[in-house]
Amino acid sequence: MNGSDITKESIYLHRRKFIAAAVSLLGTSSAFNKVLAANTLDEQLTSLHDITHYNNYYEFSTNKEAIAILAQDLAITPWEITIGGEVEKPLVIDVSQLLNDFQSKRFVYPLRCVEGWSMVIPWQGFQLQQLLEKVKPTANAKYVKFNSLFRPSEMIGQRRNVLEWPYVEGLRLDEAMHPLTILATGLYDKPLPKQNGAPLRLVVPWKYGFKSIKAITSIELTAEMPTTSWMKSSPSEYGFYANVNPTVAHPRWSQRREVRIGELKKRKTKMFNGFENQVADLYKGMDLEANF
Amino acid sequence: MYSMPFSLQKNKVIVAKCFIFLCLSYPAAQLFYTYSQNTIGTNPHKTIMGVTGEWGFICLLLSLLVSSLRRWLCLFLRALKVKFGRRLADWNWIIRCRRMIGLFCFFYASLHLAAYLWLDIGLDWEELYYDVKDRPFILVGISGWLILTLLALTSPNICMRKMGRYWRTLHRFVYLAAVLACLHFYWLAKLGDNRPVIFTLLLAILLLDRILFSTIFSNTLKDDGMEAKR
Repeated sequence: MNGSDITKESIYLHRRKFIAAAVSLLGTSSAFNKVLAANTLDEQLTSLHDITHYNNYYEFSTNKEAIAILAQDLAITPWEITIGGEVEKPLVIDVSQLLNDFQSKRFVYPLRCVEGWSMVIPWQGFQLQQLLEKVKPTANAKYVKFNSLFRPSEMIGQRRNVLEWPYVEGLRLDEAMHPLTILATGLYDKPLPKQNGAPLRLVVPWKYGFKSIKAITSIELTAEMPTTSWMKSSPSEYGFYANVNPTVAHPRWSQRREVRIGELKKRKTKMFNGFENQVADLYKGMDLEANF
Repeated sequence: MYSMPFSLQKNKVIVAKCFIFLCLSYPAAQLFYTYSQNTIGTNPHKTIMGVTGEWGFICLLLSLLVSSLRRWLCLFLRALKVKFGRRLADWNWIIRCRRMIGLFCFFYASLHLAAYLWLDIGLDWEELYYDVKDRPFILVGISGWLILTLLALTSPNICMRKMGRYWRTLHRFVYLAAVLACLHFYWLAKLGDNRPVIFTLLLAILLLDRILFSTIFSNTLKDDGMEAKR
């Protein structure tokens, strides 16, 4: 018998909402409060089944419904993560150690895919800024580059050159240090499923889902803006920033609307995926149409 | 003389039409059934758009296949040296199934457009304006649908009679609709999706077949006066 046999999911989710609200009332740290306040999302969570059976993970396949099966062959222990580049204290650490070092918390974020669909996902993880503070970025560090795993023997999608492998993503340092930006290690109070990017993935809730790189193997701080896999693949379609922005269209997908998984009709997309108050300052004075 | 209550030979057009009707209704029925049973999948919106668009395209290709198939069957049976089916005219009856396939194409294309207007933009015409401005493939799709609408409206026998030779000229626009459908599909398909290539290749085969038979092989299949060759 497992836990879900005793307590219905809807009931324990309700309890957690209550606990999260109680925690925010107690007032722990101010940054965490800001995050929680942003996420008193009055929206229903996407079901665990939908979150784990509808994935974009080109390392395995371009078919979203096939990932749940194909990803199970990936071996994720041991899993070493290298943090280097423009840092004072480079670090090589196993992901299990990382989980010991940083206490994980719950973050409920909407995930907006560039293809025009979205989910509401209860992640567990910790803020990326905590890890970056530990390695101490030098004054030269302006960007953070993330590399994903390259292992075509298990990631069979990598046998096709749909994208340049390994998958590379990047953030500006201030975006990476933002309290909303997290490294996720689990969802729905379970360890991160393989199809969702186990053992460690990035989640940047105000950017399109493809920025939230899965199965991270190394993090490198750089002085120059890294070129991401999608920028290389089609520079006119995918920019470095990829902020959720309903006013800037992708050639194939209107970004004005999205279909929330679990619904039939589309709804309007919010600027910065609803995090405008928290992140708009990062892009003050920038032309968001040119820096898409 | 003993007479069969139902002659398959005499009723072959009706039998073929019933068969085609059942086959081509299946995807739409499946869509409605799985939706009502909640087994349609994680993203019903995308499934509905995908299935209706794809089957509209398949029906368009099938309707173009009919006249090619007539020629291919004739050549194939000649090679086999059998008695029946060596003349082009032996296969004239399959042309009579074509209208229904064309109407199915219009049916799926209309479902596709209706799903877009209702489920995607929510009948908000301002959204339509932005969509057309940002993504030209939507305009291409709508243009294709307008052509199909004209063809469907002029499909009854009476229109064919009244319009005379203009009917044929108008219905040649199906080739433009097919090219627009290819363009539409290419434009919207994401990286790594091979379906537009496959559909375009199939269309290319059908078009090439027409070009070859009207030029190089125009004498291979002699018109014996029994067929509807023009």
